Amino acid sequence: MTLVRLGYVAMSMEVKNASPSKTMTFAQFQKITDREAALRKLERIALQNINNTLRLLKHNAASGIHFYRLTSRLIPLANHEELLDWDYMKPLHGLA
Amino acid sequence: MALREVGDFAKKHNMRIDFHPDHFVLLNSPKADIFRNSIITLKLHYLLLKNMGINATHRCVLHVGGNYHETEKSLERFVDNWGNVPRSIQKMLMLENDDTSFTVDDTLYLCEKIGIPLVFDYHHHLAHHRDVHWEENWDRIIKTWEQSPLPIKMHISSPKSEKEFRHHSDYVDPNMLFTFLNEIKGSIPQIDCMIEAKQKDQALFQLMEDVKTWSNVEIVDSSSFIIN
Repeated sequence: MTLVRLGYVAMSMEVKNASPSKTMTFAQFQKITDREAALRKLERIALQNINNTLRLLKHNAASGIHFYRLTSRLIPLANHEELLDWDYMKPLHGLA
Repeated sequence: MALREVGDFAKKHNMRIDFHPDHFVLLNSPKADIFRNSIITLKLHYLLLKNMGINATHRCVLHVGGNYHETEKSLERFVDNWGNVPRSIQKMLMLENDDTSFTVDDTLYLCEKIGIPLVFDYHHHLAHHRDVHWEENWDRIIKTWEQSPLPIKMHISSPKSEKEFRHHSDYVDPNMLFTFLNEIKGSIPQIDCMIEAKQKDQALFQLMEDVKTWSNVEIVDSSSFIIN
């Protein structure tokens, strides 16, 4: 006998408005004249994606799902060649 | 804090979470900048897991990469480049067989050589294989998971149509899963099957409805069952 657990990928068809991979294109980023403000906007999107991920995990737990693939697009424009000065992890892990 | 909450919740609820970095990660690239960018992308995944408080071992599945019209050479380049992958990232990785470039035999060769788990993608196998009888490699596949703290994992999806064979359909054909599971049942105590279907969690729930009609299963909960 073998225990089989099923999982699914990234988005739920049942949880509304919970995209874990909202993004901003570099073109959109450049349109924001205040660069600091633009970086903060990226950070807000990243936090929104992570909060939505938590919502999705809660949906999984409530639905009896124990296996889930996270999106690789949690942090918009992370590692973009024009944004190498941006410490994108800092706002996401608090003081840890 | 935000990432930590995600990790804490997953651990509290015994939820297995992982990643599949995209096709721009090409560890067997002959180009130094592509390899470097691949490592940078993988480092991001490592940091996400670390800041979630999740042990990163075997949490990222990759495709082997490009075959650049020379499968053998491309496999060997993967092995050569592997030496330049930081150890902490090496420990994170698993490889899956893909639907165009590297068969399960090719991928097994690598996994055995560098000592990482193979994630069997059944749909990919049907689209790209030298020998359709994947069962003959099953013992070797299990062996690649022997040192893993996690149970063996595979990918299940179904072809969208005959013409669009490689595309994922909305739901999973239960007969495909049935065929696969009946072949491997009893060989391992647990297997985690990642559904790659357009209808996402609804495809999971539909598949469970189909599973309930099988005569040799005991349903454990909404996403799990024992097959005898």
